[in-house]
Amino acid sequence: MSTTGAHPDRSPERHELRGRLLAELAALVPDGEREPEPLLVERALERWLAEAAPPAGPVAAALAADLADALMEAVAAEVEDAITDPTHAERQRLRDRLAELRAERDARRADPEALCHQSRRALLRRALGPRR
Amino acid sequence: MTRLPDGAVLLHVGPFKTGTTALQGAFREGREAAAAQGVHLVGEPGLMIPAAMAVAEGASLADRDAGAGLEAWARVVAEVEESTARQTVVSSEFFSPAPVERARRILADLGRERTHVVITLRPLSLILASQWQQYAQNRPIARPGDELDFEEWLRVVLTDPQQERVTPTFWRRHRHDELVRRWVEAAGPERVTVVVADPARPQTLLRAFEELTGLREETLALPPRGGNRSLTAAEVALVRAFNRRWQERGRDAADYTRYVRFGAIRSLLSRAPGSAEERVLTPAWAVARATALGTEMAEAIAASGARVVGDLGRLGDSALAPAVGENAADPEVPEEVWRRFLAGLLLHLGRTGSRPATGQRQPGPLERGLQARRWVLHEELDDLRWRVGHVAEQVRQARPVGELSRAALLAEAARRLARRPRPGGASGAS
Repeated sequence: MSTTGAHPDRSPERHELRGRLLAELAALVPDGEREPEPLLVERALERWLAEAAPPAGPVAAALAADLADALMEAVAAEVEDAITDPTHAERQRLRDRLAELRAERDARRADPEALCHQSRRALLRRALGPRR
Repeated sequence: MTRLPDGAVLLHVGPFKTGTTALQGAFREGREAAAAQGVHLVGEPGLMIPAAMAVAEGASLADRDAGAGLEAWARVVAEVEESTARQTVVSSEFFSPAPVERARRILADLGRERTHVVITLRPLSLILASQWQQYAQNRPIARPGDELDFEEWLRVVLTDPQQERVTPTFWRRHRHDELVRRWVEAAGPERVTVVVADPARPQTLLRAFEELTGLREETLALPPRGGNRSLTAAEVALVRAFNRRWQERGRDAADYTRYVRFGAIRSLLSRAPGSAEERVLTPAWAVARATALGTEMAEAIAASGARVVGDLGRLGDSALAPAVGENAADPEVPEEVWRRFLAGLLLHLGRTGSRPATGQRQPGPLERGLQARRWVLHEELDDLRWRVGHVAEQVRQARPVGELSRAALLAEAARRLARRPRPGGASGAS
């Protein structure tokens, strides 16, 4: 089960509760059976912890139902974001990285000394020629 | 007890809450040992439930289209026809509410002359709490009586058995004398057996089926996780409150079936409640009423002509009363209960794949959204990851040549040489 480190905005109690829920989830998946998708679990739990104000210990049935209802809402919101929100974190991270790499590639290619501009013969001449 | 004749089909019709889950689990666990003795159990639960619902009541699960159940029934019938076993067992409690004309159709499909109906019974007093909490496990849509607590529900159901507003299926399932009468009318009394197992000794149910099918004693064993346990008082309070939220939000019935009924509630039921966790208690007045009804039903069953295995007197035996008393109006839900319920939701939601549901399942909007999300993430993010890797390689290829060591220069030259096409078209990189 995927877990990440403590969220900077999360209280120790919420961090503990998150850990207990993930442990409960892991216990529900016997060896060899299909695990739930870690990214969905991670994001739904983050939203839930941020919005549901979950307590610890026994609660009234209505509050327990509210907690479960809030989790359903968190999953629904995650679905909505993943499909429609172009700033979805994972997608955005990859796009940002791609833009960075393209800029670096183009800058390097502007240099006539870039490896990609050298012929094989030129590479061999450099490798076998006198040390510069 | 007489063993059924060779070639017989044993049709076990329940009803609900009479040890059916444990019995079916025992047959599944012992499938190979039973097959070696010439007894074949037809179908898996995923096939039997929609099949029996469709053929017995014209009903379907919320996540199936209307024709799916009858297609499942056709597969059950085909499996029975193809069976070369000495005896073939078909079991589902969802057959039990069938009216006489539907029961006749079921028997005709399976082969009326060779099909023997078996009905398992328990005292009504032991069924009340179990059946009430079972109703709570499938309430994606508000129905009359949902607002009633257990005692209020008992007052409606036990004082006015004719009413059809609140849980109308209850008496179709549990007016056991009427149930026996319907199947006797459809099959003939000589082809109906009523098994009254000892509630204190669930193995007696298995022994009765071993005798009927000619299996060696103890071929069937109770599954390790037992049967279909009931929700505790706190668990059922949570599920009922959650159902109300579900209804208020206008969420979908098919999503409920997948993620709650066969999802989070199954996860909840997989835990073993602590000894301090209160079960749903049946008030003494309801036990007395159910016991009187049990006696009345036992007399009618005795007169039905059906063969009886076990003691019909148990149906009206007040000594077999369940946990008697009254629960607190709003029991607290222990953290291990609500945490398990939440983890169960996450588990089943997170297992949604990117491909459309197989078979005749009709996914709800949440399931479709989760499928679309998985598809988007899988397709789009995989594509982005590939692009990142590809451009990273282009960056590497655009390093200033002065930064490379002699070894790196030679390696690059060798790599390019290897990539150069050879005469005749063979690749040097192969």
